[in-house]
Amino acid sequence: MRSRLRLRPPRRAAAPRRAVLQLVLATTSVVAGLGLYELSASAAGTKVSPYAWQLPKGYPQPRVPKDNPMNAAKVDVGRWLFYDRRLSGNATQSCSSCHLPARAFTDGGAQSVGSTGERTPRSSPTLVNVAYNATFAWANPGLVSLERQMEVPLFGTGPTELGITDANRAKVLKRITDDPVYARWFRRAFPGLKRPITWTTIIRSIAAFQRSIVSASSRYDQYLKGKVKLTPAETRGQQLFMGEKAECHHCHGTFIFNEQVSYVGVPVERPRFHNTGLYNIGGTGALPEASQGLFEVTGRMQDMGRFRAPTLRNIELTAPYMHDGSIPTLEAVIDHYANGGRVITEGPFAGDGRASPFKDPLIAPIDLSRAERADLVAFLKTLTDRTVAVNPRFADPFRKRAAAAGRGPAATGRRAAGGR
Amino acid sequence: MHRHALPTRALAAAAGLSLAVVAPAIAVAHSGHAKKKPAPRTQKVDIAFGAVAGTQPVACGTPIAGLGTTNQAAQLRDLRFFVSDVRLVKASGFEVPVKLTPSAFQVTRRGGAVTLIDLENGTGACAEDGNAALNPSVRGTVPAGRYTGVRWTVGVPFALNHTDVAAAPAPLNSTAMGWSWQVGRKFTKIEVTDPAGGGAAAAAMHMRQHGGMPAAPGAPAAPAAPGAWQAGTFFVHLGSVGCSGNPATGQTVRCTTPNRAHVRLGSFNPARQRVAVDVKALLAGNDITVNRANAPGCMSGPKDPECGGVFRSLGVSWKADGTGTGASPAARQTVFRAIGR
Repeated sequence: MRSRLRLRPPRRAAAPRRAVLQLVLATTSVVAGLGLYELSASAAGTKVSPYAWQLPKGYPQPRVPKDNPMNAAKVDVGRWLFYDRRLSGNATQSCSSCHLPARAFTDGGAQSVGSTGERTPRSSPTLVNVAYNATFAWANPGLVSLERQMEVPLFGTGPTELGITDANRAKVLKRITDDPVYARWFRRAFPGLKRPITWTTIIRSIAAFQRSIVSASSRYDQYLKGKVKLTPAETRGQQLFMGEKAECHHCHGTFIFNEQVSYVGVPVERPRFHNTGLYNIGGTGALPEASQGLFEVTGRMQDMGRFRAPTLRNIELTAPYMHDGSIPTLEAVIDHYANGGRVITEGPFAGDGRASPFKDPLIAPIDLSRAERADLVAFLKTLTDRTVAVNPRFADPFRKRAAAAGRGPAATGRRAAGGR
Repeated sequence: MHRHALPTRALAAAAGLSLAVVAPAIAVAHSGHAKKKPAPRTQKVDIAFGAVAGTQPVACGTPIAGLGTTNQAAQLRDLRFFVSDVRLVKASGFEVPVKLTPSAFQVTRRGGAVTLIDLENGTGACAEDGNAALNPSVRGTVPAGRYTGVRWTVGVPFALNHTDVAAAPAPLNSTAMGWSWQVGRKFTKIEVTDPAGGGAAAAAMHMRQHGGMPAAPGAPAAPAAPGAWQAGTFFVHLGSVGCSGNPATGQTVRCTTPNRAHVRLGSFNPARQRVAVDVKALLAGNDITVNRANAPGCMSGPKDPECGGVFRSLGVSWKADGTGTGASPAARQTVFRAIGR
């Protein structure tokens, strides 16, 4: 099996050099695409192909589950699957339906809508740099791998997202196994497997693709490299962000501007979650039933309304904000924190979030002038990485194929989208 | 009864009282011993479960009368649960584990032996998540002998509970029994729904509970009437909650509240009896037409007020203040009992 896939004779002694070559190629070529893919596919046969991470300078190596090592072929097939609408019960949605590159892999809605029309209670989170997350979803210390997280959108009900059930799972899988292009690619991505296409390998491929979405090419990154200067407003905003007045850095202080990060070599810390005074229904501290944060997992009152502090990279592109999309603009988010919480004056969720008994003590009123708020927004906008939307490594391959009639699964997922 | 120490087969022949001793089989002798011991005799065991509401049989598509504190008519929407660690018990108290016969409903792995009992046939409201296949029984073998009782655990052992749904062997690969947001399995998927409202009411409830348009807390409960449940469906999803994982390994490391229900039937003869799964007893402490807070029905939330009643029926520790341990050392439950075959 393995020898058939081997495009070159195995030369174990030479393997490290080839790995180095790969890394060099990966970092020097702007569009790694096909060349890297072929190199890795050949190396896969020799089992010595370290994945050529294309990490921004200084970025640590993401953690990868032992049973799902990265390889370029797997990442590539995962990208096709990510955008393939055949991968939902009724073939109307793909992962990308709620994670669009143009919006930093969010969907622009307050709450996402699944393939059967059911609305989820939460806002689609960004996938850019998701490889560094310690936990997934908005507040779930049990979801610690992308592979396990994926069972939620694939198989979950209440709400149904991609709607794959016991009744249709075989049919959905057959859409993928019947595609000869996928059959060929999976063999390369998972060499040595008797049945290369299974739900397990589908999930592992998509997770590998998600881990590959690492990017840091924002104005702020250019500034860190000394290539651009921040404007006076951006600089003032940065000082507020990093300083003790606004104190944003307490919860958004990592290299991806979140709180919990996990990567090779970093000690594991207990993931933290915070209540930011978003709700206080009737003075009880409660959040709307639909989404109550860490409390839903632990049942401990003190965990009511606690959520993960998300990355602020690309935050300009991911409106509306908060776990439920209940704040429309960045300006309004800054107002929320400046006020030390949100007051809802009417309706079923009325209450003074500033006085929530479960609010994190770090969330206190901040005396920010209108100009200072604008400065903070200006700084946050320097974290926007416009290369994500146009990076061919992350892009919808079906779209490219439609334009150029190049490689790709024969019966495309896009075409399937027209069916029922 | 069964107090005399008669040889099992003699007893079976004489009075038909033995435990489903269908065909004594010869176990495979171990090799590698200098002196071969005589192979122990085994006997088949078939522990059958049957759904009832009190004394009435329960099935998908047939109305069930008199459920909950409001004596509500309801229809079944699902009735599946995992049982594990099934043991037959001798009069002396000596227990032997049932060695499961592998099938699509049974698996033995990582030291755990799990059976999915499936009492829904995919008809009526069970069409929503169910399928035609049924599995009423735990089937396996035990050393030949005379047994007077049985015990088991409702649930999946920790070592198997948190495995990938996609990669796990049947029956652990059921997506319906998967519980992705709790990174485990639903130990029970027992659901009753409004006989008039059916799927639409259940869907509406789901939207309210999970769809971002939640009902206001403390909203007055509508009076219970057929077809007008305030909450369209009452879900009983027992399972381990409060689980956390290790980001470095991707593995689930612990769950604060295991919620495995231990069951012990002191006197049970599988040849002549089966295990009643009493939906009426399960729901006796709940008004099944309303959902006061948290997930619709009980999804094992440590503070979900609907969990008080069903956890009491299942004999699992639950307290309104969230300090329940999720243990059930006394195996005091009212849902399962022995009835005639």
